[in-house]
Amino acid sequence: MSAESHERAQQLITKAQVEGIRVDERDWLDDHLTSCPECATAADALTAAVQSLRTLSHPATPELVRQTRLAIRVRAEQLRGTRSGWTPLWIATALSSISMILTTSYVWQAFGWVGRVSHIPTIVWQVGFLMWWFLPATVLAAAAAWRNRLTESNWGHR
Amino acid sequence: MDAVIIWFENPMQHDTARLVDGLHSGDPEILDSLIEIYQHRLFRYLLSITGSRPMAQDLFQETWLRVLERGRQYRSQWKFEVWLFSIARHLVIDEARRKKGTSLQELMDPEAGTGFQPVADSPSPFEEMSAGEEGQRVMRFLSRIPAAYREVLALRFQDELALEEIATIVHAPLSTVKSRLYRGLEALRRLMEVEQE
Repeated sequence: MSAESHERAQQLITKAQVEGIRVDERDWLDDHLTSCPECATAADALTAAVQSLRTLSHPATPELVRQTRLAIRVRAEQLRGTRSGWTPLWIATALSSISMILTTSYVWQAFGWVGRVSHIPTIVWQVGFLMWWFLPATVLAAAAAWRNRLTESNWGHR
Repeated sequence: MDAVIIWFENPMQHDTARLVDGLHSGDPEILDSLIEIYQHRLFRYLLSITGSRPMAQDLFQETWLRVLERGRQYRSQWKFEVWLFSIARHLVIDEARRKKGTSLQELMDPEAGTGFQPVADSPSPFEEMSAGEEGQRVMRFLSRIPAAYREVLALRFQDELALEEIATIVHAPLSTVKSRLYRGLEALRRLMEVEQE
């Protein structure tokens, strides 16, 4: 029997386990293994190894699973709290944005009227208007930053 | 809860939308069911890569927490275990980098050694992992081959995943997966031959 035959047999033995072989390859291999004890032994050894791999088991311990489930519950609760905590902020942001868009021209006129009546320099009441305009955004940003710090602090104590 | 488990146990009645909804909403009940189904496979996979029981235990819990946190990213067209093992694999790599400063390439490069090494004296987690004498023998051999080979051998022959699914998990071309499987089996076979001699 040629060295090429043995080499082909070895390749097919492994290929059969990894990705399967065609029918004609299987027939050739079966013929070869019938007449070649050395390759038959190698095939048996590999089959045994793969079989051992398939039957190996090491279950996760019940304690590990219990702790994991507990950790999941705690984390899910924290995530829910974090997500629901953002809802009022989003609503407030949306409402203040709509309000700003609708009232800007009126408030601008009101600031101008107060400036004229009170003889306040134009630049001063205009700066005042800008500060009023940015106030909601500033408050919301501060609230968001505070929430983030709170969340990080909670995680630090986990 | 029972209904959820039955739903998962019957592959013909899988309601993927429910799984997706549960993961997207971070439903602990769905997570409980998934843990019930995949606990042993995930732990075995982690142990096969790391070779360390404490590390596998830490990463087991961390993987499920990550599933909860990243549940919104899960897509219905994905096979859940492929996504699960991908998450677990990333965590293993992150942990290796954090502890040893090992890069992804070094960790999973077959030429760079065996990757994670079992650190216990005896019996090693690999040996404990096996039920019988033959199993112990095979696990002793497994502990001597590179982590990259161990990983694909575990995914292929223990988890019975398709080659394409393994390629997705290990982020490697199909040809690389096949090559690792061939080499892994070859290494296993040679070690067994040497012992017989």
